Amino acid sequence: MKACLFLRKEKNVMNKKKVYPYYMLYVPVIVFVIFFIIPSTIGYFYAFTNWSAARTSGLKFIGLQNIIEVLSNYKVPIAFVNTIVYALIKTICVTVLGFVFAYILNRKIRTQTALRTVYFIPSILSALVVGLIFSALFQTRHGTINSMLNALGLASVDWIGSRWSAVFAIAVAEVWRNVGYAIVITLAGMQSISSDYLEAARLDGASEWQIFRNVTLPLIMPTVNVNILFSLIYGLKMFDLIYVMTGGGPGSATESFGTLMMNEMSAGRYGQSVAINLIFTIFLVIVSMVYNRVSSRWERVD
Amino acid sequence: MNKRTKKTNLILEIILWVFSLVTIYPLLMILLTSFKSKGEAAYLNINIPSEWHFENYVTVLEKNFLQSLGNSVFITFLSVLLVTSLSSLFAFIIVRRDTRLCRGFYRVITMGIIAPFAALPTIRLLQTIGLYGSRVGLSLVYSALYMPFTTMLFSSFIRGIPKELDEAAVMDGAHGPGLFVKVLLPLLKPILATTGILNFMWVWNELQIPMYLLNSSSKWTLPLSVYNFYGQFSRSWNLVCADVVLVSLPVILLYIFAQKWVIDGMTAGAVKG
Repeated sequence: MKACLFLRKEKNVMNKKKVYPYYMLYVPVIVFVIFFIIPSTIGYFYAFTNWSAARTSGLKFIGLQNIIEVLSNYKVPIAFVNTIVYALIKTICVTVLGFVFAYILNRKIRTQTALRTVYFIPSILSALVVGLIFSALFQTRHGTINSMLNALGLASVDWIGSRWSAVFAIAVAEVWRNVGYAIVITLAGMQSISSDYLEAARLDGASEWQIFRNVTLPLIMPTVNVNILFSLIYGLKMFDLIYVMTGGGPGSATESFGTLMMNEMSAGRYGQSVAINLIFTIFLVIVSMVYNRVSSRWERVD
Repeated sequence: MNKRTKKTNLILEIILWVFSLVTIYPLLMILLTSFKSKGEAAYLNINIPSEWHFENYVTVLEKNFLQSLGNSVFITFLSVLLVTSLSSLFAFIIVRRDTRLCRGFYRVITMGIIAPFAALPTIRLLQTIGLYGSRVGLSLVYSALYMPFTTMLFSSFIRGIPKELDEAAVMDGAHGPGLFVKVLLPLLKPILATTGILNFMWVWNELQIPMYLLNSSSKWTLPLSVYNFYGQFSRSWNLVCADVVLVSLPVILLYIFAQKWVIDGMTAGAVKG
């Protein structure tokens, strides 16, 4: 007891400047500033230069020329629409399926753990691997999906050959990769709901639907909201899967912002690639600000 | 549980197992195809191979696989070491010091979760400081990119550690780095494991960033080499599948032996009760 009192007194004397010195921040801050802040802020200055594969030194400031060229590039609206379509399909399917499966698993299913283990496997694989798996599944000749269609007496589809079927195939792969993750998170959220609430509702004679509607759903919403935001942001940033499955093609039909930046760079148009990157950054910031306003749950993440 | 609920649950359980085939079937197909001959592998199905071609794996291993494995191991370990140590230090000071400057830093760093990778500006920067195309340069970029999320996880963990523990150590003359190493570090073990695994999975599986930042094939990571292998051998599904199995093996093994940690790590920060 005496020691406690002694400590309490000393609290005021505890010199924060000495105990938690700023010099311990130097290395982390320097690494973060050099390798993240600088490229992500003043690095976008290159969007306003004539940087290209042919001109890598003696760069000149050319004003908004790249931005104007990018905005009049027919590929940009395609990439813009596709990026949103990928993210929306992914977010909606993953959230809904994750919720349904988690809800069923939470009904004291005996093999719950085993099922959870199996459903989670795709989440640990790299997007590259998932892309290769789905290239095989959606392959025109002897691909698994087409073989199934043929068995049902239907004709084969050239999935990767046209825009919307290819976008669909990519979105399916992305959903496959992320459903297990959503299930695990939603299930964990459901399991963290105190059984006292559920017991009390049951004692009051609430039906299963009423319990779901008035107890489970409101208590799980913070988890679902965080999940939706992550799903949306990572969905908008999608690159690996598209790059592996279609490379953005046929033509530019399945391009997202991520692959368009890479393809513009490969074509040697560096300045324009940076301009697309800049536009994409602004777009992502707007999306997350809007989502913040709508859900106002973002701060719960930390 | 009454009889009806039991029956419903059994039916639901069976349905869930049927659905799990959607996960299992493609994985099984990849595994079986990796042992087939080229001709048989072209039929992408789950028939048992008529002959088991284990030499597919030898062929793949001979295509620079081991070099890429070495690069992946080096880059992943260096990145995980950097990002966990930098983030934990950062979180320690900003949480405990809690000045206006610290809160400002924290806001800036959390915005880093949203911002996309600034590919070409990063390339230009690395060229300027002479780290472009190097594995160390890539690891430093990874640590900066993944610091925001990792710092957030560390911060919320450190907030839950009573300050009185620090005060007791300060009485004994500890401060700054000494305090961090002697008092904080032992308590951070669970969150170190969580963030370590999370970052391991991210870095190990990443394709886009090394694609931008590694220009010579001798520095390629596994995903990059698999991607290029697919470009060359896209007609030989047996070899591509063997490659896919090999590149996934480390994460699968980790999942088998430390499943709880992997799931906890990968879902950290997303569950709010």
